[in-house]
Amino acid sequence: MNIFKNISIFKLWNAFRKWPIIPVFILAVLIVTGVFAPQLAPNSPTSQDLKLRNAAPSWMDGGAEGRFLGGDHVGRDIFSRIIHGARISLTVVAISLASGVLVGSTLGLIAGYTGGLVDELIMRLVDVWLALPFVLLALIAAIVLGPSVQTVMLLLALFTWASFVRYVRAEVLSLKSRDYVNLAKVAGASTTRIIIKHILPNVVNTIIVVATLRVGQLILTEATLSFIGAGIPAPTPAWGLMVSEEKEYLSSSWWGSFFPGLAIFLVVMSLNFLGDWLRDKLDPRLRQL
Amino acid sequence: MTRFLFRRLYFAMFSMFAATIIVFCMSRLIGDPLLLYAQAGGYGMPPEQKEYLRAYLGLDKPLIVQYFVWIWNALQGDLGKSLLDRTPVSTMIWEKLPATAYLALTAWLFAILTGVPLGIISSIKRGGITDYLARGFALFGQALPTFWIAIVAILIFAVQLDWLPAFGMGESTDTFWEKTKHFILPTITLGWGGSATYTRLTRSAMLEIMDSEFIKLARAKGVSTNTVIWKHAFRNALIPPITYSALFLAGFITGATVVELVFSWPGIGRLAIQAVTNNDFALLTGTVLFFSAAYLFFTFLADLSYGLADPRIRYD
Repeated sequence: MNIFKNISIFKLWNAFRKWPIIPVFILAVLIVTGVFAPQLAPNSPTSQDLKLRNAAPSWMDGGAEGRFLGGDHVGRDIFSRIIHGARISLTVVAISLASGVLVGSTLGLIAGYTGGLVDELIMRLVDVWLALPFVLLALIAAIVLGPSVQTVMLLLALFTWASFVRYVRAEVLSLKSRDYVNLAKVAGASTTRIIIKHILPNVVNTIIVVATLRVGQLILTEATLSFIGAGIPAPTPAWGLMVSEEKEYLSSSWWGSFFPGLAIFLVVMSLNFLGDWLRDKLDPRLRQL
Repeated sequence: MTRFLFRRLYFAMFSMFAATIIVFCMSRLIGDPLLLYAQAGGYGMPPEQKEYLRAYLGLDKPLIVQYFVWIWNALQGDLGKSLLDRTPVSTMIWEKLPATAYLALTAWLFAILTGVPLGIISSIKRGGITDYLARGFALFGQALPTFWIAIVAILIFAVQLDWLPAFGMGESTDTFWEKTKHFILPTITLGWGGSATYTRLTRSAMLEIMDSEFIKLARAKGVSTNTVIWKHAFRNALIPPITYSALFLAGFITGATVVELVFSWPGIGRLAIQAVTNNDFALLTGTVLFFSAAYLFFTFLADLSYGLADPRIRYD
């Protein structure tokens, strides 16, 4: 079987495994398009042009001028909508992940360091939380709170915090009996100082790895929620929503659902690659993740 | 073991209790439930009739009493009535259950029958072309959104090639082959993600075991490669995939909602989505409660299977 190792494509592949160029490139593109969406998008993401309804991409036979990836069912530019969708995804994921990391890591630090009843309470809450069928409760929440970008951010933050508690706590448990922590205690450092100065810097790696691996899941969950109608409401250009809106026109204009889905796939795949790579580099003990 | 079992059972009950509390609180957060039956302004309903309706529906009692009445009815199989056509929610769920159950079964079979062999081949021929292909398959399965796989599958196999039907379960008069054809696309769409996890789990378990002392000993004393793989390694490597099965069925619920929506599959997931679009709150809480119970049941089974499959695991 080893003859395959000599074929250049596999060498190339192994090089990518060692240093994830393509994933980093895709994510860089995502971030740049997200930040500069209004400058980069050739058209407005919401302006309709009924003459270009379901128009084919400009590079296809009979494609519409100025619609690089075609037009959707009300003639909006799919390419511009995908670019603005990158911005929506970035905002939603950044805010929900940041709040999830903040709440989850803090609780994990507290639970791991204090132990005892506090630890027991926090961990039981986490257990129950992780046992709930999240997407279904999100469906109810979407009806109760009304679908909006804020609701989605809140739901995703609620979805993600619990896993951080588990990993951070496990890490803190092993750190708190180390010599340097005991020495800091002897030297008279306060609990807050020990947690922030001596323990936190050592759990940052774990937090980064878990966060990177969670981002892909967050994007998928956001897209799924938007797809089933419990996420970001129309006419916001969210990728999951775009796939859902255009699926009725699949037989005549496939590009409407295909390209937003492709964008989700590329981003999630890149994040999974990057997460795997970071895990191997920073924290090989998390291999089981 | 018994202590562990009771502990898990108690956890599952507590989680179910938490789920019902969440569902109940949300159902009351939406506003006065009476407004689901009568318009806000009364809509030609005199105040005394409104009071009568309130008493009749039990909405004049304290919230905590309402909660226990609701739970008591739910335990007896009464999940309320659909707001749309007054059909009992339990009847609707019961009617749709077979479709969802069949799909769960075929998707699970697909996942385990593709995932485990792929994982084994991939670990035996580590670094070879099969390993790359299997890992690529797993990678795609984890990164592709289920709804997008469904849509692209419809686009290719139903619209372009016209080989397979894209919608529904088919008629009851259809031949067996016709019915099977309806199952193919939803099954693969739903099973791919699980298959990817099976591949990864089997592969890493096999690699870990092939590296352990007792395998080296078996090799050293001259046991043939096939016996080492199938008799020594495989049986031990099966533990993680087996225990994952219950989790697969628990996670299936989310996937089923999406897949049933795309393929117009007449199951419970689609029922939940219809409830969302129609604002049919009784139906939605009913389906969510049913799915939560199923979900917790399967996570409980997953916990149990850890204990049964590997007695070395310690519980406390």
